[in-house]
Amino acid sequence: MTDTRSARILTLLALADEAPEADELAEFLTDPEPDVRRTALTVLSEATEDWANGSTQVAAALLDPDASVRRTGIELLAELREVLVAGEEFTAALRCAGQHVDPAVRTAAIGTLWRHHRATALEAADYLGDPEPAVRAEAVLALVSLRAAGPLERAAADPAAEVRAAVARELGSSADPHGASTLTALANDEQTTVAAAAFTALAETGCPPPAAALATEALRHRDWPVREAAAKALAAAPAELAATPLTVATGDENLDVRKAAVRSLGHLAPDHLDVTAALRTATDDPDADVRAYARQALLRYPQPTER
Amino acid sequence: MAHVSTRVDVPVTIDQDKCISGCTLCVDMCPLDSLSIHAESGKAHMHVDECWYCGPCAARCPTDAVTVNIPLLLR
Repeated sequence: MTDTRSARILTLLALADEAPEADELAEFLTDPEPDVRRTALTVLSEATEDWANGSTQVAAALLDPDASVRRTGIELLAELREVLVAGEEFTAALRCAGQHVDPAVRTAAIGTLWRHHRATALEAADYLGDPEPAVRAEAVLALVSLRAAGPLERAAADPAAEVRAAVARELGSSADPHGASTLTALANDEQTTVAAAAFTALAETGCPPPAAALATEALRHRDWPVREAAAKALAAAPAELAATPLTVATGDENLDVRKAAVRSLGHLAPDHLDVTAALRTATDDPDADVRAYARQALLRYPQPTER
Repeated sequence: MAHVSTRVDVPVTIDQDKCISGCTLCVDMCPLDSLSIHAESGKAHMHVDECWYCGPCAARCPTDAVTVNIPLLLR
């Protein structure tokens, strides 16, 4: 059996030099030996130019009975994203893979579907019921790409912190102000990573007054990543609400919090004497970054003689 | 105390039972040309003890015969 397998692999490798069509590799992709099927996929990815057929074969690898072949298929779907042709059969194979018992396959299936604009909001929302958090987190990416606000609110109440954090991160990356209400709810999350991700995202979407009040409160949080993220969020809040708490945060014990506070003050332009006083104090901070950002921020404010 | 005069471990080890005679994928991949095909067995082996631990030799091997032994401090 091993000799036959070796011979088949050598035949495949010889074929690789001849830029084979996807059909020529079909018999190797259905070979009984997993090593041959895995090598055939690699040859397909490197040698073929026939992506109309080849794309379906890569997607079909997700349904292979051997885990190593499925893993190669998952890697190739990510690596070949630019060249894959998302036709009907390709999409059908991915939809079938979405029901696979292997969570990595389901994650790759929904990930590939939305990245090729083949996932619907309804379909992506269905994956929110998957038992595996990684699959649900991938569904969140799909829902954000589809601007599906309703299911995202449901995902924001997910039992897994990594899914809730994914909702926060992705709403931030989309910078859509409509996500601010969901982010405000996530900013109250008991998990540090989720709350920090929500406050960081609010800096991108805009920080409305209710979220600014939460951020002000979070500047006294026990965990510094939350305090740092809250200081970032306040950069996008109304200046009259953000100036005083940020001024206080320039004296935080953690240098990352002080740095975030000083940078956020640099984005505001309040007529507030305490702000310039706090920034001047920060120019003597023990940390070089804080001093540099404080000097930059001061350049944006009018000097006392210019008032 | 006895001393070992010859180093017996190399960065890349190849399982000769799994290696396919005639396949040269790992040899083609190696950026340092550290691997070569043994003249008699026709199988790959490490002939220069030098490695960047980059890994394509192991990743491309069709039979998982290649192992890159990455030192603990580089992991």
